[in-house]
Amino acid sequence: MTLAGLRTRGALRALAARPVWLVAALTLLGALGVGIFRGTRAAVAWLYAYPLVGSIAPAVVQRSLEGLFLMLMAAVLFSVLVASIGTVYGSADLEFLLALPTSSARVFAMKVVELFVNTAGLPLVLTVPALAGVGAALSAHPGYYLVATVAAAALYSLPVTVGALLALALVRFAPAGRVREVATAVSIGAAALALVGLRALRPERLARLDLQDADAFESFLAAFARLDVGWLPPAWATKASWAAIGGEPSAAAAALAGAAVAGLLLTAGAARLAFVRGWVRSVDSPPAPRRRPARPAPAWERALTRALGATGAILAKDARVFVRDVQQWSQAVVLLALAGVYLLSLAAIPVPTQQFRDVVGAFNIAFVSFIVAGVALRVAYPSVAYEAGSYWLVQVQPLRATQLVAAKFLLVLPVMLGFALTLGLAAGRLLDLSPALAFGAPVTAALSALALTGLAVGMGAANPRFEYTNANELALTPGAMAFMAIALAYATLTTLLLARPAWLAVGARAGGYWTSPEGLAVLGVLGVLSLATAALPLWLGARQLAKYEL
Amino acid sequence: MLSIDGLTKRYGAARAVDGLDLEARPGEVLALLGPNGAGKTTTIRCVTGLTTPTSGRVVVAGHDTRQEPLAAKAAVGYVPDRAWFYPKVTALELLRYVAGVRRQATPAARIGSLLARFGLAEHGGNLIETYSHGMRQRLAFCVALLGEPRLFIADEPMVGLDVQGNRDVRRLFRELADEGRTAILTTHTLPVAEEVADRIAVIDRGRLVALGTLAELRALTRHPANASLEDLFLALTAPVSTGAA
Repeated sequence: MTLAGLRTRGALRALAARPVWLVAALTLLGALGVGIFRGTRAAVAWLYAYPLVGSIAPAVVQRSLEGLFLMLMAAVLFSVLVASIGTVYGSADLEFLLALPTSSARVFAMKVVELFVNTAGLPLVLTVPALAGVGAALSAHPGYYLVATVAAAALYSLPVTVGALLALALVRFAPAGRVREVATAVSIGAAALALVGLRALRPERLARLDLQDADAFESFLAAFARLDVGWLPPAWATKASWAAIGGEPSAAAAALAGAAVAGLLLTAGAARLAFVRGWVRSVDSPPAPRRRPARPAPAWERALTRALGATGAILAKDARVFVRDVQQWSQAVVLLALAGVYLLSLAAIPVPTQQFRDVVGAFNIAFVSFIVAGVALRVAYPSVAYEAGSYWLVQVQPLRATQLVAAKFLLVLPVMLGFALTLGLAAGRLLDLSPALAFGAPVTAALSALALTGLAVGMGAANPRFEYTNANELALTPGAMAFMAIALAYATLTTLLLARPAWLAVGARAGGYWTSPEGLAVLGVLGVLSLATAALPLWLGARQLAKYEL
Repeated sequence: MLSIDGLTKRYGAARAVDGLDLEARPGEVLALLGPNGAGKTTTIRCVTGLTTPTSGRVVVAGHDTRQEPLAAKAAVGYVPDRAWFYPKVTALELLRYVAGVRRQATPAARIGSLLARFGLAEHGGNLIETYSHGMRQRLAFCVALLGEPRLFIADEPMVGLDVQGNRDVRRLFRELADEGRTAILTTHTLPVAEEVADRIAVIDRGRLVALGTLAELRALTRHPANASLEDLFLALTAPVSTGAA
């Protein structure tokens, strides 16, 4: 059996080990795919039928595709920078694989494929139904579906190539003994900088929407249609797909394929030079540690254990591991970058009137829940799995699974609350929202953080995966996908619940809303929904974890 | 101290342990021997709470492991064959964590004496990721003994230990028994079992095939008084002849 075959079989068995979760995740993902397909098909058909912009509809669709490709390519680049070192050098199976009588280039190629699947897999899965929707709306040539899918895959392979090359360079030149820590930290820093850097370009300057203008929509679309990013790979993917709709070949497809192949060749060449040497450096022992004298437990640790008992002891241990493990604390850096970018974006939106400020504020309430869901997937969901090989130690102690799950929840909750509240409060300040929304934004953000942290920790406990080659895999397990689907459903429900108060606020009719019977009822329902979303999975997760056998 | 009645553990159609009855008394060292796949580790996993029996009953220090799992676990100290610990904490922090989980009020003196006993006092402030395999194994002993367990279980405890560590552990089993505790070890190093065990249990295909002192096993297998444990073991675990040949 080939290495790739072995790895694929292992991955499939891991998926098949939890068939119920797998079916649930695939069903939800399928539903999402169908939704994207139908939504895209309807939107494109509507645009072509819209009387005043029908003539520029093709350009608008092409720019939209470019925007989608650009956004998802940026998302892949960000994920790759976060995950590359962990996948290419931090995987637990590398020691075994590199000891086999097989070429190291094959091992490296397998790791790059893993990196592609882990980082570009989901964006690709979400892109394909959108492309199919465009094709269906425009009665595309049958070859279009293949060309467009391959173009998207080739496009997303470019940031994966960048990540792999960066990993090779960083591990080759980072100081010996601390190679993985330093390389991961630099890589995460680069990801955070990339996020902030993209934001610093202030893309909103490209097309300003003047809401006071009666012809604003047409003007906006016309301006949007004139945008040209032809020198960027997302435009090549769009041009390749667009030509394929009519069944025609295009130079853009050749350029994209050429760039993808060139990237792969460059990576293969660099890997030949640097992969094994980098690997040897990465497993070098750190400098001989100083012998440190035994110190008594610090006051904060004693206080935690005294106040919370066994849960406090776990909390103290986890807090230590969090600040020392680069894989874990780097997520906090990413959080900060995300929060910064989001707030910069809010500050940059042109907000001429109170009404428009409140419209943006209402959208912000919905967005924060979705962002918190994404962050919880990375920060809260893996918290039980981080016990990894040490879980045996937990199992043999006189400890209830509820205590472990509670400790994980209590560790992550302050981080998530701080993140969500910053977004909610700062949005109110930056947008100068009307009182009803200024109150609603932080309350919803805090409740989202509570609900989604509980949901993530609980579902992570219900689907524990203590054996993984690197932590980045955890976000792609069936349990993680099911978490994302439920989290998105929660975010949608909260958005619907807040639709009326937001609508009233936009119409300047929400004075005293939150103290009215209706306002109190909405708050009550929101509170109960959030508490249930947190508590039920935590309870179920602890029950499942108690039955888990290593 | 440990009572196992009709213990069965099935994994699908396979029976790893098949109706095992076994008892370990206070103040004795019991060696659990058997060929690979005999069911030794599964038995230990059932006792320590790492897995749940399919049927049968396990009682530790008077506590049924199903009905009072926490009380049973509080009485057990366990050393696995390959101990994996959180790499980013120090040995000292790990031991304080275990003491906290076990609600031990003033663990500092106990931690200090255990680290000293197992030669880790100078390394207690260093991250576990810097430890060798043997150091981790010694740390596993510290962790297992921290709660002053009434039942001490070690699965292949000599793996990874150097000569000194090996001798220290052999002495430890004797000391624990002398303190009135029960010590159970599994090992394939038969001279170790011969040296430290008061009684020997031989398991094969998930069933207990013999239990007794060395002299009793010799009598059971009709071996002379100078027969080694290796001879007895091979006799007890020899494949059953079908008589067809």
